[in-house]
Amino acid sequence: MENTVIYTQNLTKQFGDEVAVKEVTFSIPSGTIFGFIGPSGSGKTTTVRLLTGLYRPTEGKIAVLDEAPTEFSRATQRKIGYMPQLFVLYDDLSVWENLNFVASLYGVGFGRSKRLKEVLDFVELANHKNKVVRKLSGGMKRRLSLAATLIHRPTLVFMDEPTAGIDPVLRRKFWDHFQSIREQGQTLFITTQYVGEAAYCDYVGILAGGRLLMVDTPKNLRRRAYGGDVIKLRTSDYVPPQVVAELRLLPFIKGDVTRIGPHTFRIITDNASTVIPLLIDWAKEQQLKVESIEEDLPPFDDVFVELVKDRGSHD
Amino acid sequence: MTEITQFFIRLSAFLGREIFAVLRQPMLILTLVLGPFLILLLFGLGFNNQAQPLRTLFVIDDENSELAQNLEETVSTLGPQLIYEGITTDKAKAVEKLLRREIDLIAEVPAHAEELIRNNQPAVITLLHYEIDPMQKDYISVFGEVYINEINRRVLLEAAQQGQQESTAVQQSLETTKQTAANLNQALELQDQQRVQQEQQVLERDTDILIQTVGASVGLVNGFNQAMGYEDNSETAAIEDLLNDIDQNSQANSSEIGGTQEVTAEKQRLTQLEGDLDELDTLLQEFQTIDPNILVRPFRSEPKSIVSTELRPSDFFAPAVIALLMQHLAVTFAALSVVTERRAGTMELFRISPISPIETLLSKYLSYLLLAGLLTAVLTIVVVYGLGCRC
Repeated sequence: MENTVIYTQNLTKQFGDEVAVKEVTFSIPSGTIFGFIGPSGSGKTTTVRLLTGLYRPTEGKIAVLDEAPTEFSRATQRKIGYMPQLFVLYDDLSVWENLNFVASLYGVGFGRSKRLKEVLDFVELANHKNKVVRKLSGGMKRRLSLAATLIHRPTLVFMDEPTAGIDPVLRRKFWDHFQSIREQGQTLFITTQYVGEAAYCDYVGILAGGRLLMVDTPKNLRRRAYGGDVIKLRTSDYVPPQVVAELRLLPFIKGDVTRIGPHTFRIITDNASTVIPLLIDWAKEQQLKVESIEEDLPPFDDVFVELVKDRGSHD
Repeated sequence: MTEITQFFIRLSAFLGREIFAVLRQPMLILTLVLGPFLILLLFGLGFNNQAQPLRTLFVIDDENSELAQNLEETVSTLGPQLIYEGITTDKAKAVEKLLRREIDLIAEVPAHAEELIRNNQPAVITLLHYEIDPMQKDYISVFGEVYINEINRRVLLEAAQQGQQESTAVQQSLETTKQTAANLNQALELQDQQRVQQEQQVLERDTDILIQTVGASVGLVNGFNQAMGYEDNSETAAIEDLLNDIDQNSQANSSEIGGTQEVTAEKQRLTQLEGDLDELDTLLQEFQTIDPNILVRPFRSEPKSIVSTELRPSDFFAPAVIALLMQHLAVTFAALSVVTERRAGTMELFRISPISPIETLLSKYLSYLLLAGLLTAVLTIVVVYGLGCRC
């Protein structure tokens, strides 16, 4: 991949006899959002810690911004932002003081007020800058964490479950923020256990039991889960089985045709946009009244289940 | 931006953070400053630099002995630090009292102190106490030493007074000898051969007694001088010379005095003798005028400091207490801060950021140094103006 910012090969981390991450290989291009999705305990946080140099790998190779994380130079450390899973800033300091503190850690110059205001505006905390953190809500603390992660303009940002435990509205806002950061050219490595959030990512890695099952774009993952594009066809009348059998034999139908209701079918094809008009013509020929026909975008939760199920059957 | 500038920016991270964090936790400061301060204050209140009087019970074998009869009068006047609690012959009961803290000390007096001393052995008074505090134990040792010294001084004083009384007897003997010499002189004037011989015999006897009495005293004084390490015995040597002269001049030049020449020679001898006796009289009078207290305790110490400032124990220890508090605060705050950050996971943030562990510690300790400086100023003001210490 061009402009690779993160590269791992057979990355493995063991704690005693327990294997937390096993032979994980992937690479991430710059300027993208990489979502690392998996259930809790699947090895997401361990991977982030390996990529940030907090853990030393048991086996395998890692290169982040062309350096081994455990030997990051100061210059490279200044390019990295990290948002831990939990809120780790100081409850007894104000929002402004916490941000100021993190800015100092990263060596941001003393004339930093403008940058602090900018970041606080970005996370919509400007009106709360003098509030002591212990008086903030959970969502506000998350936003403060995000602001602290971005204060030094990192080119690569690691976020460990940044949306865990916050309401759906704020989660959506966070993803808007992430996309806006990505548009500024920054690369984001985000772990989440909300499978639905895969839709906001450019690339998604699916992790289960410490193994990386696959890495792909969200669209391709959906296709891989169902074997192609999914079209949902609903007719007004009952479609007899011999007509369904004819449908399966049509040349543009590449995958399975499943009756999911008395009048409803799920049809797998190569390309939904070209097949839909052909299906409408076929229905007319068969004198079937089409009530609705559209590309079906199953929720990623279903996609994830399909992929894990499929991978499980392969294993 | 240069790496040096970045270094100072990173160091500044904890300066503000730690100071704000501590100042925003007044209860923490109160606990960490006031807590140890109160403990030290209580410790200070418990410290008494005044000698504590000891309630002392005397254990003696024979309650009716002369020593027992005079004991109360003797020990009651020894000093204010000894409170006389009576005499008992039952040591076990006395120990029970000590264990119940009804008394502070048992002074066990040896059964036959006088006999021991006569047999050239010291009479040891055992002091039993029930203390584990090393300071108090030391105090009891010093107490024992001081009070035994006082008893010894009184014994010596009595001996010295007796010595001076004895020297009065020497004086009388001297007067008698002088009178005999005058009588002999008169007999010579009258050329009364018989009386001369009688008076001469009396004179020889008197001078023998005088020489023996004074010689013994001179021996005592010489011994004292030797014990004190004085090499100058000129004073006693003069007395000894005088005694030799008196001895020689008391002997008659011839058994019979016939001619004028012999009378003149005898008179000269007597004049010489009378002069020697006068001189001895003067020396003995000087000896009698010395205060027996000075004789038994001729030296005493009087410490004088060349330092112009006079400090009380509280003035002296207050800065040390503040320094102790400050180091305790700095170490406690740093430890608390590191442990809290470790538990909260903030350390992860530091490890990923460009700040190194050494910079983190340096920055933290710099902030606590500033904080400790601030608190030192506050505590010094409290100690100086609140407690009246002269730091």
